[in-house]
Amino acid sequence: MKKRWFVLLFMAVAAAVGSCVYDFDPQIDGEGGYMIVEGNIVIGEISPIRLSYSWSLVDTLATQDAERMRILYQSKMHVEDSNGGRYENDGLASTLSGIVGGSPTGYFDMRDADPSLEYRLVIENANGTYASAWARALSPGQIDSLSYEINPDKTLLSICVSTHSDNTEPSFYQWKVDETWEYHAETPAAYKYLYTGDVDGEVVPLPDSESTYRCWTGSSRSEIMTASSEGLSEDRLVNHKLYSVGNRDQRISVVYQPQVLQMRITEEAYRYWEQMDRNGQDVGGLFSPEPSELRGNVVNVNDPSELVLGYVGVTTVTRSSMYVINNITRFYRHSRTNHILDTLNNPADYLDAYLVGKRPTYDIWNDTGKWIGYEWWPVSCVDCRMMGGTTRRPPEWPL
Amino acid sequence: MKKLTLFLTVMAALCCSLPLRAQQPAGTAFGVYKAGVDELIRFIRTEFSPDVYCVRDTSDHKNYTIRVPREEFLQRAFEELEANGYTITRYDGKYFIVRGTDIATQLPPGYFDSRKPVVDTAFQKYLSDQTTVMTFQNKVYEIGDPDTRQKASKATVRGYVRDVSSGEPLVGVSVYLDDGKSYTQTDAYGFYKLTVPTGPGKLGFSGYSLEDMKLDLVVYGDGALDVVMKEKVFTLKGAVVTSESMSQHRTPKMGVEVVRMSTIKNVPVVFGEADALKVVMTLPGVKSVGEASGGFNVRGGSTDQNLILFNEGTIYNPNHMFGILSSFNPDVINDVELYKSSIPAQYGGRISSVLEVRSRDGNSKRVQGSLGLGLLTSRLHLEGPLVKDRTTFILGGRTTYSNWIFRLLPANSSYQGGKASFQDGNLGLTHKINDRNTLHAYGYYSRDKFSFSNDTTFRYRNINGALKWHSIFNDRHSMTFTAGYDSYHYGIEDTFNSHAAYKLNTGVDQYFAKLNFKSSLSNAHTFTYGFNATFYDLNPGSLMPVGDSSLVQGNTLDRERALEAALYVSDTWIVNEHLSLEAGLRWSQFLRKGNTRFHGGPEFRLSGKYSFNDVTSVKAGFNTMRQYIHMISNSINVSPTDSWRLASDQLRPQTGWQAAAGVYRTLFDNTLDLSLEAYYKRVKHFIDYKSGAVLVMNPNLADDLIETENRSYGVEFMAKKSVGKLNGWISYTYSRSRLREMEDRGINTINGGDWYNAPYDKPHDVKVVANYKFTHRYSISANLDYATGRPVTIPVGRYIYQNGMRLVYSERNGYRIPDYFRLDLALIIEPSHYLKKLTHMSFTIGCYNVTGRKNPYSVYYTTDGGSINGHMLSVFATQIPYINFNLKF
Repeated sequence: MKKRWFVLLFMAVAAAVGSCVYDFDPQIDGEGGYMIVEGNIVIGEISPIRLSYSWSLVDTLATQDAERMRILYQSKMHVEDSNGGRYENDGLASTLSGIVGGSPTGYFDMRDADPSLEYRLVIENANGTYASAWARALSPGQIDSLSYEINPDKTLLSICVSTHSDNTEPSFYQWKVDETWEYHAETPAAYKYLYTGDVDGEVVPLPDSESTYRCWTGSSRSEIMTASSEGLSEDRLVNHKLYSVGNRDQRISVVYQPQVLQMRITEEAYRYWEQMDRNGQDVGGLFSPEPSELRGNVVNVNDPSELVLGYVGVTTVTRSSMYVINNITRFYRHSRTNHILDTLNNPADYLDAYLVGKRPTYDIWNDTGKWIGYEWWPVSCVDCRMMGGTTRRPPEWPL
Repeated sequence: MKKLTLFLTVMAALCCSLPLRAQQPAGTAFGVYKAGVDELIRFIRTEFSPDVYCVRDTSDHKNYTIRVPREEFLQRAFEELEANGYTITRYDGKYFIVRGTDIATQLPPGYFDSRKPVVDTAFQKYLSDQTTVMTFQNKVYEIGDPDTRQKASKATVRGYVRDVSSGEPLVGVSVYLDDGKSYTQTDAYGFYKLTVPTGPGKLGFSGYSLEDMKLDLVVYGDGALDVVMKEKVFTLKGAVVTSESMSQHRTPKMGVEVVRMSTIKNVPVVFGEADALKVVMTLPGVKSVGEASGGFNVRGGSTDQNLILFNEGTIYNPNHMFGILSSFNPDVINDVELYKSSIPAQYGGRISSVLEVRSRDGNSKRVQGSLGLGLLTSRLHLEGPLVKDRTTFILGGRTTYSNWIFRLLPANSSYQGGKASFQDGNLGLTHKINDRNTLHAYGYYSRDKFSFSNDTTFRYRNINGALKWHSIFNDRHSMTFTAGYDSYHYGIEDTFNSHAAYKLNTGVDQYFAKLNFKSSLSNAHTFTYGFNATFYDLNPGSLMPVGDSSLVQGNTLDRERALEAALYVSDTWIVNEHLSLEAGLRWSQFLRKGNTRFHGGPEFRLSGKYSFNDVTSVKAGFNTMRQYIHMISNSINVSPTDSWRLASDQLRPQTGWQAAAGVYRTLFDNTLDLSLEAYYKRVKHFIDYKSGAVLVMNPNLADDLIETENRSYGVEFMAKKSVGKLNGWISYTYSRSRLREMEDRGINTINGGDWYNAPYDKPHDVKVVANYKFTHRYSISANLDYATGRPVTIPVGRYIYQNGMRLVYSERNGYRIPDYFRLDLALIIEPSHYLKKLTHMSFTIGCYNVTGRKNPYSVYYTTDGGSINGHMLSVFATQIPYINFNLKF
């Protein structure tokens, strides 16, 4: 119920008066250099905590301040509990995030941590000692079911969660979603080209084990997904929408598996995430609230005025997943594109075709039933790995 | 006491044709050739003495040809006139020319010692026999009882000023004695009261778009003088004094702007709906955050610091369609008055300004009405007498058919099912009990409904009702008593997810009583004093489930109830012809139910004027104000979900003061007014919001609010031409408005406790409103608006969090959107000017944003996956042509 009306109202008023949105570059360089701390202390799991810096609007990875990055990489991190226990990090490992380059990440083994204690994260580097606020983990609540909902226009498929917890106080929930999906190449192939050392090479049958028709890939949703049961008569959310995917999204083309990770967070953390979400999505409209920067819970002990971005919560999590199968939903709209196909039967042409990125797929016969050659498709239509996935089938995949 | 009866008419006003004056070189023949009596008199007035008065006999069509040397001319002319049946009477250097009768130039014997009623002189008798009403230009009145033995040096003249054809009271007409010392304006009932020295004098009346009048008075004692004035149908070439230019040099009040409906109707606005509020926004010192925003900011104040009164009732949301139109029907509005600096002591409760919107009284002579068709709305209004000259009504209504806009949208877009509608209605009743007592009843209703995709509906409405009793006790004392009820409610209903379907309502209900007395104890002092009380009953929020499956728990925040009471007194003191002062004290007290702290205290209203002469004045003023009700909103625009909350133990009332000074000069025969005003203003306990504040259904709202202080200052320059073919105004304003958090919350303090720009801080501002009348049927209007872009909080950095690009925001309001520029043009065609014709039609054809400039309303960034995109929202990004049709009957 919270913020939806802002967006609606803005769109509606905009439509009513014929207003327009244009691309705009305000020519501001901005400023970078705020430290970002990302990750939760998850009791019962291995918890990664990632450090990074913000950039100005014009900076890129390449123009980042090297000295600043050096300080970041030389940071030492540990997690403390309220009994004086200490969880060390073996050293910062650099992970490759999908969008930009590496950032130092610490891993804390919290599998045997006592959920009744309070925890905090401590980071020490040349800029000072940073600490997150002490907090105790909240139980994650119970995921009752996951479901999907297709809008009447059949343009959006939304993943919904129903959950409850047995608290008398309203709960603040946060979800993170890891998604895995199967997708297919444009066309299956029965053959492959084999370079035999001969100038022409040859086309041979493709064993099933080498098929590049079915691929699997995954990612994590970047949406900030939070909700609260404030104002409800019981601490229960029914079919709460987490996020939506469009009907041309490759994710839902065959089988889509969102894995929902649920945790309960404090009200303070909830406000922080709400604000971060709003700052990115819900600004600039006629009735939008003004964006503003909210302080996270990590403070530089030596210089409390330093702005540190991020919120390090202490949580326990529960998971649930589901499969969205396109043969059942019939939701996916395939975007067909025309490709230039070659029908080749002269082995002398094979290597040239191969080198320009074509692959043999299946036999072509003419009307009289005479074999006239192999149909060569662009490699991107044949090899699903070209789109980033792998042909390794995840265990327990339903189909 | 004898009410007067002597009119003399200046011939010049009668002469519509140009005189055929045949002036010869000196020494040769001199005179007129075949001139009518009008021309002859005019000639005499020009050549010899202006003090020639003639009552023309309409049956006289004789032509006069007089050609004699100059020194003999007068003698010859009088002979000719006498030969033609006129009587020439010379008295006190003046000539009175009357057909057939004689004027007694001497008082009857015993006039001064006898107490017998005086028999009218022959001339007076003659005049009283005259039934034809002539164009009034000059009149001679005797006020009071000439027989009185009491020889007071001062007397009070009072009366009503009404429109000659409709009988409506005329508001804001300047009434002044030509000695330059006595000045007043008619009040909302057309009533005036002026203390003048006894003896002869000239009393001037001037009002906007009215023909000026100067009455020759002979004052013997207190008396009444009702005056009818005529609308200026033709703009004469001669110098015309307007009340606006006169009043600037007469009243000690500063920063008062009056806009008449006739001006408002000429200003082009979007979709062509004449809109009082949009015109207020074209005045210097008034700003808005952007197009289609209903709220306005006066001298660096926020939108909730304006008290908007419509016939004494408070309007909490004066907008239709979230600010595209104001909710005042132009057909029933008479005028709009904005106090942005000197706020009279009788008003209080808001920091920045008072905007008084007044509707007209119904026509007391005949039933008439008008019909209007525009792109968005259609309007109907009717007015007339219920009992002739005693009880009148005025009724107005508007409705929209703007749903068509939504039908233009593509069938498969998610806007389908969107519907917007609004209506408003006005009723005004005026009953004249007797000469001294008038009753008014007002009713007002407006509602807006907007639904989106059939699952979300917003609605809001205003209801106002008031009864007003205006009573004149005697020449020196009058009273107004008003009691009424104001109500503003809004609701949102969202059934998007049936398990979370809800409706949310908030509202303000208030009951008020206002008692105001006005007393002129002497020529020099006019006292205004009285009592205001407002009882507030607010619903800060109630949340209800909708449907059986909804899990939403019904929850209603405690109603907020409080009484705001105020006592005030103020004195306007005309010290001498140069200096006048106004001092007011208002004591307001706020008692909130269930609270332990009593808020309240004094408010001071001081202003003074010094006139060097009739056209040059300086003024200064100082005001303090208190405000006990706050609008809770963290969007920059006035949005339908803004709610109102009362001051409480935790939420202190806002207090503020303003000091201002100005120089005023009138040029070119009182046609051009220049003014330069500067102000400095401080407000404390102004509300701003913590980052991530929850404003809806928050029982502990005060925890999410911060108190700030506001510092604004500015200089406003304005050149205004009220009359002539070309009229309008040009203004330039330089102003700043900044905020600073009052409490130190450590690292969370906004901008580290430094000053930051208020969201409506737009330093440079140029406004031009101009109307040019080609003929009486065609005129064009232009409206130009330039302003510095408003401050915004924009991203200055970015970072990756949870696999997505996020934004770091600048210090609050640290940047500005690009500057704003807009030009609107309108052509106004009034097809008929026949006063006798039954219906009058007019068309307005115009274009909003002629240059099609894509003025930014906001700029913002969105994060879309890995990339950050800058966007600019433009509300009216193109030319918007419109046509409006009006029919008067």
